[in-house]
Amino acid sequence: MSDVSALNGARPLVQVRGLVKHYRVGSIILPRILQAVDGVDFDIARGETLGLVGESGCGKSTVARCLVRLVDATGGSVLFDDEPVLELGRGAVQRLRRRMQIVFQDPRGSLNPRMLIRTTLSEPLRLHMHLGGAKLEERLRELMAQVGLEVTHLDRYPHQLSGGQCQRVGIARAISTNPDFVVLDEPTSSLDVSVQNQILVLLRELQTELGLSYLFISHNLSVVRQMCTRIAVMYLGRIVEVGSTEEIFADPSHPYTRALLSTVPSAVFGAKRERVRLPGEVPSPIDIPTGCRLHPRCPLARDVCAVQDPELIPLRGTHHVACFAATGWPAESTAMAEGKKES
Amino acid sequence: MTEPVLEVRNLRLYFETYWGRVRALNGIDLALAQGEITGLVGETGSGKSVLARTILRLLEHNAVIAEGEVLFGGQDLLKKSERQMRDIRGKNIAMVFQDARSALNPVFTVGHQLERTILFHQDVTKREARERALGMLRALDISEPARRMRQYPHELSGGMCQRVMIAMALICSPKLIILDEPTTGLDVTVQAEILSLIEKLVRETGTSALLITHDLGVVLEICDRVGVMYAGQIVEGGTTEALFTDPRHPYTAALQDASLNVDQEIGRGIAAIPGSVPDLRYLPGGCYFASRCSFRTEVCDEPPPMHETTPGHLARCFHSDEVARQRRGLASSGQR
Repeated sequence: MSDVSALNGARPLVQVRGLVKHYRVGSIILPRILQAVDGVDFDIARGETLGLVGESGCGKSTVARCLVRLVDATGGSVLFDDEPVLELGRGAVQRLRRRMQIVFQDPRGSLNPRMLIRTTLSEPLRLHMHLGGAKLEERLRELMAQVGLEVTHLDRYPHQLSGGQCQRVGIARAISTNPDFVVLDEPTSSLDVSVQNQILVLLRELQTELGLSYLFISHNLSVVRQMCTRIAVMYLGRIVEVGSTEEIFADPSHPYTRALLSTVPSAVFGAKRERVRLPGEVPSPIDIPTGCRLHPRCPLARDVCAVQDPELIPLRGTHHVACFAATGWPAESTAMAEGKKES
Repeated sequence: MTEPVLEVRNLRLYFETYWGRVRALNGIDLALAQGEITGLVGETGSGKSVLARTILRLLEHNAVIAEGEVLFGGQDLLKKSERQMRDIRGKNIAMVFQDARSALNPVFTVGHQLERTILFHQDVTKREARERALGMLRALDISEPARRMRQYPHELSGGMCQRVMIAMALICSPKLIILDEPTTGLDVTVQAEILSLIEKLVRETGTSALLITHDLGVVLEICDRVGVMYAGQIVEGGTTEALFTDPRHPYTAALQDASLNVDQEIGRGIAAIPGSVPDLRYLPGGCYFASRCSFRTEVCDEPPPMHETTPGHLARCFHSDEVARQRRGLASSGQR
């Protein structure tokens, strides 16, 4: 397995190897396998933010859910501070959840509409931190201040708060147990720009203040660029490119990353980019193409791409890419590919 | 500017609710030029969608139009009967909604819905309608159009549904097409395709378009002119270039600074606009943006008039010159 760590020896906080999640779909007569995540490797160092980007349906949220054991992975391993997350029993997972938390995409939908904010926030504090009485109240007030809400918000219901305020509650819930690691699953995608930025600023402040590590899932590359130390690009259940934010943006090496970057509208006048267009649509994860998953849409594809699956291999520094065009064509088939190119 | 396709004059509208009077539109003046794409940007609750729905008279029953007119071809749409409006909708003014999948009828095939739109407005045979529908799908780069015609909305991807929706809007060659957040909720790659399609078709057919969005990047991509909305008012309007290179309203400037984009240097601070939009039930007497504005002075307690800062560039702010000066200062010191 390739080394996708960027840590020069330091032990990562989270280590994911060969993560696989398949769903059984279809009927009894015609059972099919939906390969949501199909062999994903990455590391997250202490205090860093790893961005996971890709289009809808590429498996980014499934990765997140597997990490915190909200769904059970089909295969692979996840080490969190040397604990094998996927093999733990129910009780151990509960204990682990104090240290790894998640903030969901839909801020209002992830809060119980019938619970006061106070009740929602008290639950993890009672359960994980064994707080009660005055101590609980004190911690609740502290949390509200930390995420920029008023103490009066504690006695409101989710429907009485705005989307941005609900997301602040979601964040308060996640940090209430003093976790080491927080998964942020599209935390701002349903918010307006001005609110989005307030939340991003808050997340950054909390990261420095509490020494958190983040897995930041997003389809918004502009946000990822400002928030993340490193970025992993996913396509159809696989990571196709990973590297530091600088490496990915300055030198996108996978054709998919290039296409993705070129389609982001810029907010600076006169900065129109050359657009890399991938023909067709993303194939269904039930019917994954052979070889490289991108080959039917890839402008650089050669015959070998339809047969052989490129591995994620190092390019320069911490920059890894899964593409023959970037890392060199497989030796035995070079002649064949060259022949085709000339004809 | 030639005769505008559509002109909105001093439109004021409120919703009568249990919790009070929600003033959604507070004096909108807007003119859409022939053959141009006009962008309307603003955050949630700024009144962009209400404005679009008012133009087509698709409002809820508790909406009250206090004053103003919507002129289309010299006639006030607000005075039309429901029967007359039915004739205008889809034929003269078409609309594309944000959530294409739920805007399409789930129990009819795409082809059926396209054909019905044509048959409703035009005197053609079913066969001709079918041919036209197929042609339209082809124009929208839809693969296997004949098969798509037989499919139901749930069989199509989100991007494909939005293409069908645009096909349906353009099929009667309307004079104006209103696009309400056509790409929100779509992936960036799909968004880019849809935007370039919209631009191509609008330019080819010579229709005018009103594009509503909250994303400045989208506006920059295809719009000729932009209006910025805040709390039911247009606070700034002008050509896309003028608005982006020389914003004159503090809100526009703040919105631009807040828009993260991929061409920015990494690690640049994230600019957040402090505070939140005012409650539309209790709007302040003066400038609506004053409570969040760094340029605020005593004069802002009076409602600022919309005035021309440079030819064709309007701003609703007493301090528009200062905004421009400050930004020029920032630009020359290399901070932006």
